[in-house]
Amino acid sequence: MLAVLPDPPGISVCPRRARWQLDLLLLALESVDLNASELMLQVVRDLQLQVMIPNRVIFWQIRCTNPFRQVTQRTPLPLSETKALTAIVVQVARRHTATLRHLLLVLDQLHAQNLPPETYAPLAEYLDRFRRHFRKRMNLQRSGLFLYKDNSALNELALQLLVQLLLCAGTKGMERLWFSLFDGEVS
Amino acid sequence: MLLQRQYSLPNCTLRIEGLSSQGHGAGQLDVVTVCECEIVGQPAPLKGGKDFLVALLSSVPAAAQTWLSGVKLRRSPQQAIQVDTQSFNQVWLRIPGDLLLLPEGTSARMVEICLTWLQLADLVEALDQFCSDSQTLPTLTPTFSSLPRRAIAPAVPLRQQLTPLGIGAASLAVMAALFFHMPVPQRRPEDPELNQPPPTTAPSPLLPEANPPAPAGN
Repeated sequence: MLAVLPDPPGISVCPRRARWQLDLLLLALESVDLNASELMLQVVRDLQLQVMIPNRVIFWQIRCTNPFRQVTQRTPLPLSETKALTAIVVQVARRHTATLRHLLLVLDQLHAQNLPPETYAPLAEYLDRFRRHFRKRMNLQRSGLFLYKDNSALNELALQLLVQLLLCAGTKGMERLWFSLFDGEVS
Repeated sequence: MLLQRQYSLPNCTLRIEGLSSQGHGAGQLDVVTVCECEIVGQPAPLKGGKDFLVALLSSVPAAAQTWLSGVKLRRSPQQAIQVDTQSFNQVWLRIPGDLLLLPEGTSARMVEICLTWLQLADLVEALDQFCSDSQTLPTLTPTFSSLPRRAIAPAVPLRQQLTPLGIGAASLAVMAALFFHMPVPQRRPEDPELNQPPPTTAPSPLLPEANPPAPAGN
């Protein structure tokens, strides 16, 4: 399955922006579904990725390579593990396609009526959970995250992540996500 | 034999009509005559030929990838169909009129439609399903590639990077001009009284002595 993801030319480890992006997508999935973290580990077993991610501690350590986390690992993330994370994001997003579509459909309807997203309870719950997860795990003292002290900026990020997850869940979603991770990194 | 393929998503239906060059009985569509894209909420379907289909394939998936990566491009891509995803939940598709088969009596230089994020995702998925179909235009395969570094706009724009430098240079020039016109301070002649040593004063009898004499007797 990972064979469809070629190594980008001239890159041997996962770039900084890609680590941030993958961790954010996983965070959004955890906000969509409370059991998403268990589902991620199930996907690891289903795709036989235990060689790279043998247990949840290693999975957490890999996610901590995101430079904006409070507890961050400075070790580089190899491309093989980046591919594993990409596959996990895509597989879990595919299993939540119906939920993602539903939330975005309601968002359209609310937007058409000039109503805020918090008007709809499941959407409000998703946004609230995302904000809590984000503030708990990310280092808001970093200048790059200063913007996200504001609730509306975090809400906008959460809604953008819903669309990104839906784009990942499509037929060619895995390839699209993989190549997008290296946008601006290849020479 | 006329062949028709349809890729249906809740918000978008992509319909392709064409012929098979391999004669009767062959199910492979490899000559496109009409491509129709019907998007829910739009007044009329977008209809065109193979050029329209190729333009859609070259612009919409690329825009979706850029949206996914979240990077800003240095300049908008030189595609026939322009996809603008700047506003919240609004994606503008600008399609040149010559790519479309417009109803008779109507003409337009550019057709603009506004999609929501969900409609864009469905359009991308319909195009992906079409590309994955080995029975429809098998030579038309999607090509994915990452954007090169030179295509990406810097995170901090050049103007913003140069602003502090400009302000610093300007303030230096202003202060230099100001000090240039100010008179040079003259040195005052030294006052001889100030150079005299301070007069020494005799110790006051009222002040207690530092070492009082020890009491006599005892």
